[in-house]
Amino acid sequence: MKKVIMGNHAVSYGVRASDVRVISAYPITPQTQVVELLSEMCANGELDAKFIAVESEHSALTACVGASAAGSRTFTATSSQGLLLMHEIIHWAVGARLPIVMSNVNRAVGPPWSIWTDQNDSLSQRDTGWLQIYCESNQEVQDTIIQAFKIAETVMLPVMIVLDAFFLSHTFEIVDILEPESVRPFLPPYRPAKKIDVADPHSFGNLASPSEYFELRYMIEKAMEDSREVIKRTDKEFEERFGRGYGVVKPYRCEDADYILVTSGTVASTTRAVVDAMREEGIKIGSLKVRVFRPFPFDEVIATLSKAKRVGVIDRNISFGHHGIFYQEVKSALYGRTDVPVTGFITGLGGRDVTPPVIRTIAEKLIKGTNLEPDINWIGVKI
Amino acid sequence: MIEIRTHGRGGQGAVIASEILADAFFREKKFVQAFPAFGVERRGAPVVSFTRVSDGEIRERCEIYEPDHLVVLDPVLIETVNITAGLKPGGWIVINTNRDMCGSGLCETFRVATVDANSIALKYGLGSRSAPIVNTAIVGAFAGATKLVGLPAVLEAIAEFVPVRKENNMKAAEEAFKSLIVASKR
Amino acid sequence: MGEKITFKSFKEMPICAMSVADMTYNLTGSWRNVRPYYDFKVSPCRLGCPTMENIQRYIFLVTQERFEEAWSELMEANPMPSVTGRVCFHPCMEKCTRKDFDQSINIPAIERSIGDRGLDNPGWMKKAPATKKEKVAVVGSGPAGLSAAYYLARRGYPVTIFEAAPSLGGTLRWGIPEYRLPNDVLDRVVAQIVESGPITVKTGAALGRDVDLAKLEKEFAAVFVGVGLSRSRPLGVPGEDGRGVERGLDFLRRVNGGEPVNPGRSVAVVGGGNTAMDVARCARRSGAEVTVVYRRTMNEMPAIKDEIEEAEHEGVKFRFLAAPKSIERGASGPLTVHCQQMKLGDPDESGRRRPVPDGDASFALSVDTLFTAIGEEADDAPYAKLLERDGNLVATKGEWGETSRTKVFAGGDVATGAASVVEAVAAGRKAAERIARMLSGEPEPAVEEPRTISIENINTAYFTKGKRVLVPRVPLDEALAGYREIHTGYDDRMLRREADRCFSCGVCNFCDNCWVYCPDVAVRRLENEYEFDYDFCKGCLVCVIECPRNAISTREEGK
Repeated sequence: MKKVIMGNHAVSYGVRASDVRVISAYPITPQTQVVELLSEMCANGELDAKFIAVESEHSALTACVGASAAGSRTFTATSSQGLLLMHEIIHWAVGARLPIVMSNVNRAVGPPWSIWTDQNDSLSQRDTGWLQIYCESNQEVQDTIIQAFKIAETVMLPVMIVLDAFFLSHTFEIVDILEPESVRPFLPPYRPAKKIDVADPHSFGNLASPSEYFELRYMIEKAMEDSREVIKRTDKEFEERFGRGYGVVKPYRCEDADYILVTSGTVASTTRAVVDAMREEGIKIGSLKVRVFRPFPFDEVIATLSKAKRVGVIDRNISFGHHGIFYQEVKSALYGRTDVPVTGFITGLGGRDVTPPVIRTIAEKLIKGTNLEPDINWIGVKI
Repeated sequence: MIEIRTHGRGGQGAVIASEILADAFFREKKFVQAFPAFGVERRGAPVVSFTRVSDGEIRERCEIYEPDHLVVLDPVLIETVNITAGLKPGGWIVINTNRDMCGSGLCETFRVATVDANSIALKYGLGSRSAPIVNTAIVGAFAGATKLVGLPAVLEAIAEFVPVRKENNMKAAEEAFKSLIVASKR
Repeated sequence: MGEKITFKSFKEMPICAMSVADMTYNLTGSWRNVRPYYDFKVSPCRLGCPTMENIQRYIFLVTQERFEEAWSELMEANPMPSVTGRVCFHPCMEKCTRKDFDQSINIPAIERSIGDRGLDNPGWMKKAPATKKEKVAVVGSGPAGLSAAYYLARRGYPVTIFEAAPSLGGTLRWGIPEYRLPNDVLDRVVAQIVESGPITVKTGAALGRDVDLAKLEKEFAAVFVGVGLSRSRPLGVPGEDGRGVERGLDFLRRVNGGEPVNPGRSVAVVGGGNTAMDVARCARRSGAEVTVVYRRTMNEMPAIKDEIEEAEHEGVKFRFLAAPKSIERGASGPLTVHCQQMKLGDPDESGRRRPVPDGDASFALSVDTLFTAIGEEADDAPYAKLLERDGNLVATKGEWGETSRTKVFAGGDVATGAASVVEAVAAGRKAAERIARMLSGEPEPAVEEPRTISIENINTAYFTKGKRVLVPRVPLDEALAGYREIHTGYDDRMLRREADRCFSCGVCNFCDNCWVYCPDVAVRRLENEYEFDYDFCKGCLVCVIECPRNAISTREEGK
C-alpha cells in the first residue's frame, strides 16, 4: 500500500516487513522516530518482537549481539554520537559473525553539537567489517532494510543502512509499504547453523591464539568478498518480486559522458536533476551513485568511470589530514587501471544545503579544469 | 513541478500543514515531497516547511529557495520575516488573517487570499484562544484559492494525518475553502 | 577426558571464535605445587563448652531449618538443652570468634530454642530399648545424675535412679528459681530423659538413709554417684544460730516449692555466688529491700555475670569488701549485723586477691533477715567408709569420674565442689561413656589434640558487622511481681537471624565460594560436600583465600 511517510518510518516499516524478533535501542537523542514507531508496533502486536530499551547505544548493540548469537533476527537504530558509542561492539558483531542489521541516520558529530546531516559518523566505522549501504529515497530505505537481512544472514556479516538526516529521515514522500506476508517468501526465518543453545553448550567469543585469529580474519574478508555476489543476487530477486531494484551503484547518463560526478545519499538524487539540466545545454555529463560502500564496488566504479575525460567526487565528509573519503576510495579503485583524472569536492558538511546551484558549481569547475586543487576543493565554504 | 513554502510559528502546525498538502496532492496521483526546514524549534519561533509536487519523480532533495506559492499561518510574520524571498511573481500567498490585505503591497506582484483561520479553528474547538491550531483551515483555503488540489483530497489527507478531532478539522478546512477572500489590487 | 583438536585448514574452523571441544585433555593439575584440601577444624566455641556441644553444626542445621537434626546433634552432648539454654554461664560465648569481630553469637539462646522444640515435638525422641543386661545405679538426679542416666539408657543399659527428694531434678529443682528455669520446663526435661530409655526411678531414696552404697555396688554392675552438695556452709560468727538468720538454699527450696515466704522489709544476703544472687532476687520478689554483702569486690564475684547484672537491674544493692563478724538480736525487731571492713590483699591460690581486714574499720547493718549463701559442702557420711575422699568430696581420677572403687563412679559437684550445671552434665556423660566402655570391653578412644582457628583465619570481608539478637524479656515491674520466667526466648525469625550470624569457624557450611571462585572449575559440588578435581586444580589457592571460614588447608606436593 502506498502512503506518504517520513524516512524514519520507512525504516520502521522495513523492519516490520522483515519479521524481526529482537529490537534494542537507546530511546533518547540522537535517536529518531525509527524506534518510536517500532516500539508502538511491538506494543500493539503489529510486530511480534521483543523491544529492549537500554541506557546507552553501547548496550543497545550489545543486547543485539546477545540476541543474535542466541539465534534471533535483530535490529537496532542509531545516529551520530550513538553510533560512535557503539564502536567497540560494532567490531564485536563482525568478529562474532552476527547478521545484525542497523539503520544509521547520517548526522554530523560534535562538537559543536549538530543534528544535521553529514557522513563522518558512518564512515568512521568504515574498517570494522560491516556492510554499508547508502540510500537516497524513503522507498529505497524500506526496501534496503529488507534486502539487508537476507544479505546479512547469507554471508553472516552485519549490515548498516545509512540515510541522510532530515533530507531523508524527516522528509515525507510516497512509499509502497510492504507487508510481512508478501516479504516472507523472499526472506524466510533466520535459522543459524550455530547459536547459543543450552542443549549444545559452547563458549563464544573466547580467546583465539595467533594460530587461529589470522584465519578467522581471513574468513571475514572472504565473506565480505562473497557478499558482492550475494548483494546483486538479492537485489535481483527483490526486483523480480517487488518491481524495484537498486544496484550496487547507479550510473546516470554515463554511457557517453565526458564528465562524471560521483555521489552518494540524497546528493545523488539532486545531482541527476542537474545532469539533466546540463545535458539540455549540450554538456556531456553524467553521475554515478555509490550505493554499496562496503564492500566497495570496484568493478562497477572502474567500468563506469574509465571512459570519462574527468571525474569529480562529491564528499559530504572529510578525513582530516587526507581528503574526502569517497574520493580516496574512488581514486584507489582507479589507480593503475585507468588514467582518468579524479578531483575531490567537499561540501554540505553539518547539513549545509547541497542545492542544484552548488552541484552546478562543482560540475562547471570540473569541466573548466582550471583553478582546481588536485585533491580537495571546498565548495561553499565562507572564507 | 510546484514548490510551496509554508511559514508559521512553532506550535501552529506548519510542518503538518505542508505534509497534509503533500498527502492531498498524492491522492490526486502526483509525486510529492514534504519536509520542515530543520532547526531547533521552540513554541512561537518562526518555522518554515516545504512541499514539492510533480507529475514525475522528484529528484531535488534540498530546501526550496524560489517557491511558486506561499502559505502563511501567522500574518505578523510578514513584518518580521522576509516571507516573499524568492517567491515567483504571480504566485499565491494564502494568509491566515482577518485583515484586509489589499493595501499591503503584496497584491502588486502576487495573488493574495486571506482567510480568518483563527476564528474558524476556534469555532471548531481546535487549539485554544491563545493558540488556535490553524493548519487544517489554511490548507482548505489553499485548495480554495489556488484550485491546484481538490477539497475531497484535502479532506482525505486531513483524516490521514490529524490524530485527533478529525471531523472538526475537516469541517474547518471545508469552511476555509469556502470563506476565503481573494484580495484585489487597489 | 577430552581430546585435542587441531584444525588442518581454515575450512574446518567455525566462522567465529567458539569452542568446538573442551580442554579437558590438558591436565593442568600437573602444574600444582601446593594442594588444597578440605580440612574441617573444631570451632573455638565447641572447645569452650565443657560438654563439647557441636555448636557450629547445630547452628548450621538451624540455618538450614533442619531443626530435628539440630536437636539430635545437641542431644548427643547434652540431654537438657532447655535447661542449659536458660541457666548456663556459656563459656562458649567467651571463645566465639565473632566476639573479636562485633559480638559473640548468643549460643545459649539458640540452644534453648532447639531444646524447647525438642520438648514440643515428643516424636523426635525415639525411646531406646534395653539391649544390655548389666544394670547401672545412678544416685542423685541433678544434672550429673540425669546426664549419666540418659547416656547409659541410650546405650541400652537398664538404669535405676535413686533420688532422696519426692521428684527428680536435684539442684535444678531446688536451687534455681523459676524466673530462670520454670518448673514445668524442668518437668518436661526430666520426663523426656526418663522416657528416653530403660530408666527406673526410685524417689524418697536417700543415700545413707534408704540406700546403702556398698549394697548398690553388689547389686549393680556399676554405680554413679551424683548427689551434689547438700549442706550450706555456716558463717561461723557469733549470733549466727537464731531468729532472723536463714540458709539461702533453704530459702530457695521453700520458694521453689511454692511455700509463702516473708523475709521482712529489709534483707541482707551474705555471699557472691549464684546462690547469693538467686536468694537476693527471690527476696526482691517478696518485696524486701535487699543488700548483698560480699567480702571482695564485684570483679571477684563467682556468680555468672548476667546474674549479677540482672540482680542490679532488679534493684539489689551491693556492699562490697564487708564481712559479718557478729549478729545481735533482741526479742523481736530487726537484727544488727556488725561487719568488718575489708580490703584486697595478695592473690590466693585461685588467683583472686584475698580479702583482709582493713584495720579496725567496721559498720553495722540493721536487717529483718540475714541469708547465708557463702557456699555449699558435701555431706560425706554416706560414702566416707567406702570411697577415698578429697576433703569431704569424692576423690576422682581424671575426667571420667573413676573413684577408688572400680565399679563406682562419681561426678558433678560431689566430685568437683561447687561448679556449674553444664560441667555436671559433662561429668555425667563422660562417666556414662566410661561405664559403658568398662561393661562392654570397648577400647578407650584415641584422643587427638583438636585443631581450631581464630579471627585471623576468618576472611572477614565476607561478613557484615552487626549486633547480637537480644532475647526479649518481660518488663521489670512484671518480673518483680512474681516468679514468671524473665526471658521469653527467640521467635523463629530471631532464631534464624542470630543463627545466620555464625561464622561456622573452620567448618564448611556450603557457601559455594570455593566452587564459584575456582578459576579452573576444579571444585566439584556434590550433594553434601565439595571435592577437588586434582587433574585440573593448579594450586592457585584462591579457594583457600576465599573460604570465609578456613575450612580448606594446604599441603605442599610431594611432602
